[in-house]
Amino acid sequence: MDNQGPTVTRDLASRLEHAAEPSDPTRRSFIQASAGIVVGAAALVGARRELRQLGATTPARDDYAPTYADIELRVNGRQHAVRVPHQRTLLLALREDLGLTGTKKSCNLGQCGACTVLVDGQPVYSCLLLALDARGHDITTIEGIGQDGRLHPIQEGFVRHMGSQCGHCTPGMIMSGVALLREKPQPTLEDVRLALSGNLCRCGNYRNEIAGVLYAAGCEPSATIGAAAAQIVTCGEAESTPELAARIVGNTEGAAAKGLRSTIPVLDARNKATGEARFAGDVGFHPDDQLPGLLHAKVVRSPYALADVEDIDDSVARSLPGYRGMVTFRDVPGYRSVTDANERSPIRSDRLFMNSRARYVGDAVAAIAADDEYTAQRALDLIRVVYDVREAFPDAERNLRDAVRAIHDGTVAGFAGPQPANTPTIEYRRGSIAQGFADADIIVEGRYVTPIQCHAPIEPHAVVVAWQGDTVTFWDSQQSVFSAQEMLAGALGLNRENVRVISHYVGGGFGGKCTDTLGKTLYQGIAALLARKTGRPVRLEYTLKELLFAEDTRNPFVFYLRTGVKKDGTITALECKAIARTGGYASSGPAVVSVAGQGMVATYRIPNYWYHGYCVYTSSPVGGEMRGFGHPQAVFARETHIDEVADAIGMDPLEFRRRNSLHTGDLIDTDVVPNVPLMNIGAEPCLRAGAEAIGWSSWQHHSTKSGAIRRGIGVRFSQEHSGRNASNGLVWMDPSGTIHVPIGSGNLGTNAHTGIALIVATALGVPVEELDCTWGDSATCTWDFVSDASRAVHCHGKAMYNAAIDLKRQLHARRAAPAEPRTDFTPLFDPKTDINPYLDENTGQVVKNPPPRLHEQTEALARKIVAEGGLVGLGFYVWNPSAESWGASFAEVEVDMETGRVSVLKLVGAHDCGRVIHVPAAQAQIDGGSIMGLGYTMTEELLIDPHTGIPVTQSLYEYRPPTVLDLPELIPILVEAPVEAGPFGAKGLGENPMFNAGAAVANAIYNATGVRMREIPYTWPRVHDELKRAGKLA
Amino acid sequence: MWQIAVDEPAPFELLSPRSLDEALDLAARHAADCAFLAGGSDLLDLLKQQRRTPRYVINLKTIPGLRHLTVTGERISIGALTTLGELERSTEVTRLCPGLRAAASRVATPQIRNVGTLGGNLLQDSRCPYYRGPWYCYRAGGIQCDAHHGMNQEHAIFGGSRCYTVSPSDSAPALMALEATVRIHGRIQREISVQDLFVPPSENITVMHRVAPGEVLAEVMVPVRAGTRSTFIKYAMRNAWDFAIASVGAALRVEGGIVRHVRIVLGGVAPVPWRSMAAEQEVQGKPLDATTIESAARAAIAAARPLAHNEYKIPLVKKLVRSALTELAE
Repeated sequence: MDNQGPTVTRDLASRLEHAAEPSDPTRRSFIQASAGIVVGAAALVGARRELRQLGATTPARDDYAPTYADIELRVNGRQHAVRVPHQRTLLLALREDLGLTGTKKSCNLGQCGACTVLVDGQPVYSCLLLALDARGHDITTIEGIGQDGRLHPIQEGFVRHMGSQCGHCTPGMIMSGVALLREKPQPTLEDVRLALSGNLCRCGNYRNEIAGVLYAAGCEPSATIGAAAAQIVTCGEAESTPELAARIVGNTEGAAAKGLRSTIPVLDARNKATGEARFAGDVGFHPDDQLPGLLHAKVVRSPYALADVEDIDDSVARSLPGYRGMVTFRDVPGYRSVTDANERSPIRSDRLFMNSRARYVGDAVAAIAADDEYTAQRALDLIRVVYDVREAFPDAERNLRDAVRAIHDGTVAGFAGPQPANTPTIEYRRGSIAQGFADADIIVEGRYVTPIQCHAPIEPHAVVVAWQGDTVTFWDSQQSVFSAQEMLAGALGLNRENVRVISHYVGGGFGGKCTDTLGKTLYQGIAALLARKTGRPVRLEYTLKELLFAEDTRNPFVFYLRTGVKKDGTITALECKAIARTGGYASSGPAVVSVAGQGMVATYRIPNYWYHGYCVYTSSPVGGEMRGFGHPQAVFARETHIDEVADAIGMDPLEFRRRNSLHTGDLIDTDVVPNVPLMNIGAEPCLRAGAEAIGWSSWQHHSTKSGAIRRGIGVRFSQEHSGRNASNGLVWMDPSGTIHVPIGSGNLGTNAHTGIALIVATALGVPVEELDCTWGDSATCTWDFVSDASRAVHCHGKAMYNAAIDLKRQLHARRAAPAEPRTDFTPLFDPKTDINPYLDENTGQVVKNPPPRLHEQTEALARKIVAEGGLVGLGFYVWNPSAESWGASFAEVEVDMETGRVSVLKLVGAHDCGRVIHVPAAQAQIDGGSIMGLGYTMTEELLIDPHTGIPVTQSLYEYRPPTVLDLPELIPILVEAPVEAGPFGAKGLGENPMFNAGAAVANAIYNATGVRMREIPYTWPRVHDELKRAGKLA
Repeated sequence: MWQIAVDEPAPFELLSPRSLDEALDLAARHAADCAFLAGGSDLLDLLKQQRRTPRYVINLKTIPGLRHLTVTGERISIGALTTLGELERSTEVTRLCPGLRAAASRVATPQIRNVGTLGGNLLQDSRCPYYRGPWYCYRAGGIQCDAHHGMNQEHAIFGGSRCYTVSPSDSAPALMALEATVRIHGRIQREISVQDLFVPPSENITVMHRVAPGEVLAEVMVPVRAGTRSTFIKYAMRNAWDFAIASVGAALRVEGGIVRHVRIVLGGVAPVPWRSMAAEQEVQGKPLDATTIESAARAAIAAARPLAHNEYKIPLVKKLVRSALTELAE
């Protein structure tokens, strides 16, 4: 295990190129290359040296001085003189030289469409066009399509039809639409889809983007694209408590009348449609927020899957003009000992933001800063790193079996650090599985496998850092400004009040931009160290490769499932062993494994279960937080497996689910507390409405299907939490009477801010347009825990609801009699539903009776407001684990039995979100989750080369997020089963739709073919090979 | 040098010749250290990932006369810098060579077709991630094909020899089926068939095509023969952006109910556009009926040699050949 490879020196200054070296001495390819020769370790070492010499024959450039040109660019009808190096792309010239930051930079390789501009009226990727080549052409950007301050009709369409979720793809998307309408003012739906096919939207908002373009062409989108508005099903009402829940509506007409089920333009629709929305990557370039002396940072990342860094040296780089310095793992506060480094947090982190041992390809070991991106890149080439390369350990099951301790001092990632191979990260037990299996008539077993999924947001992670004395400001692409503030303060050894995190717009989060533990990548810390060292502001922006595999991904899992069932359909026992690859670091992996376990056991009535999950270290990309957080993996496995169980006893799979489903009042175990009674759940209505939409009544057993092209339908069913942990609420009125709503949730593209604003407006009884809503600033907004876990509208929304009611009461009281300024800062809450036990992430302990006290930052903000003469309403809410959202999905597929090609024809998602606050936003969560889940199920997989541990998937060409041309008919159904814990009954909705494709597609494929496929994604090679193995290939 | 955190080109000097001869002079002067720039969608990618770091980039777009589409009675002449979007929108191409039109319209995305050129589409480099990535494979100058025993889902089932990359071009199989030729401008002017343009790894593993350094592919000529029907079908995992998993370009002439002349060329399944003469033989001189089509489809896959993960391409090829011939029979 500790078989060390030879020391390898990567010395670029001496023109040696080593990145091509294999990192695994046992690499099979070499053994094949030496056919007939028995090679031992020594011979292999020799071979490695030989390979290195071959690598050294690549000529290295020594002359890297750029050539400059003074050029004129005609942009939006105006001539601009600009001096650029010859290699500069039009994209950088527009953004960085002309300050036109409306054109977005994303993949930078022509694979996403965010940078689309018009050249002589035609859409092109400005990242693939040299600025010099744009001379003499008419360039139009998003800033140039409106006229006389009026929006372009497509921009109007985007505002009206919620064309933007995160908004980062929006300018490029609109430019493609503009080009289409210039050529074809009356396009068909197909024309629009083709015109937008070169623009990826990772939020999956294609329906509304198409609607925005069609609106501009004068077509009514609803008539044209069908199913434009989600069906809304209402079932049951929450019980009202006299005080607060009087606000919870008595009937659906009431809900609509009070401003819920709104379809208003979202709060920042206009800013996103015009390109004025400024993302972290735009900071420093727009004329309004220039940062003099801004440096560009680059991270030195390991090309090896497992290697110890023996030395890093920048002596050659130092002679490069414009080079400003390097920081390495030695500069990370607390370096030397992993445990020492994290003494501020009782939870130990196994990862620093730069590491002396690189534990996956892409791990950060050092970073440099320079005056511009070209110098920074050149400097990266000149940094000499000496790696001691070790054998790679990419296979979780093997590592678990062999008790591998080469990556960390332990095989399994636990909540308290590395632990032995025989210790699961988490276990959940109920009853006796021995008894349960003894009682079963039939026992069904299966092994289920899920891939690495990448967040691949359209906006790559970016941060700009500036110090002022001891205080530091981060303009970050950040879902959760308050947790980022706390973690960065901890990691840098600062007081929290000296750290400010600003993130007004986030170009897609999906869990990938949520800095809520010290185990995340903390790239912001790297930039902060460089900024402190150089005394200048520093920007750091990910490349596509960094985004795909240097940043955290979705953990891949292997599940071994075993279920006992009686012939009448009663489940008697379930056992699940889950093995997750966490990669080089734990990150959120242990929590993901435990949440996967909760998802596994919390949908059906299962009297006896045992879940044991192992989060295993591997020298591969790190698994962590991503939309659904373990549930997409677990729900795929469980719902595929449950279909097999139903099949084994010959029961209709929908009927089997219905019969075993949990009901309102049933008890579930959560990671916080056991035996939680379920509050009003819309499980049955989801199943019923979805079944109707897919036409389940025509379901036929696979044995009835024949022919080369076969169709099948499948179902998936599961719950999902509505959040976690505590939220604060704060709504205030200034002396002039303006009501301010400083929202604490991040603006990551869900448009939850609009939902929260509607909740506050409805609670106060004022139009939402009259509210002053702000968000995304740790210094001025209401503290909230994080923006993940489907929690923004339910958790923060409830706290803000309480704050609004609190403010309203004070206003009433003041009307009766003058009152003194507030001195008691106890927030308002409903004692019946709003105070619940929660898991303290800092201690790993459950806080059983949390005091209903504001976070100190909220209280400080409230005191400041009161001191300045404002009237402040305060609210509090701790996630109520009884408030669970439910979802059922149904897929129809067509399988070509000759080739194994699977086409998903229809995907129905029926989701109980408690109460629909904003219809387009809720519908877009279903569409977006369905589409991201479709990618997870059909095409997306980060493949790792088994011999070197290097990701083979290095671009979006190989990664394949769904485009607008790859979608089935999507049918979103919103079910309202309100809970009294939620604001107006609302639950979480962000994650459950992520599970829509997965098992529904798996079960539909089975229904079509009779072949059970237990591994996603269903790529062409995989389905072909499965059909062949089953002898079903035509 | 493969770097994870690099995505801008190393500095280069952009040279803007006014004529092909000037371009060739520049190329000769900077022989080992230059690249030709046309549409740039492949070159910029290679430059940005610093897979290539030439000191000089010679811009072909400043040369007049390379972007045209001329139809005479016998042939269509297409300047190499004509964009794929222009081909897609050309009524002549649509009318006379529907196979080429279909191929052009299936490349990548509208934005790429608006800059991507026909010449560039023919001459683009291998997309194999092992070749483009940090592995030191045969094609990159090393001593092994890492894809052969690695992740080879997208690799060759025909014609692999040390290297198993696939020809990524959509226009190549379409043009080869139409028996197009190319004019190469160099020290000597050459006109060669598109079929001869491509170099299999068994002959030379370091290049994809026969346009030598210092030469420029200037023009593509597509013969127009009365009665020729053509088509192109592409299978890709996504309907935008993706390169072909497998594609087919086919052209034939039917006289008196008998196929008199036929070309069937596969893309995405071999290191070069793969002319399936076995399939052609089943069709040549026969009526284009279901039996003929089925035996051609079977013949097309007879020589396939799949790797560990790409056997699925075999039925795809079979289906492609069947679909193409069925379409041409109608």
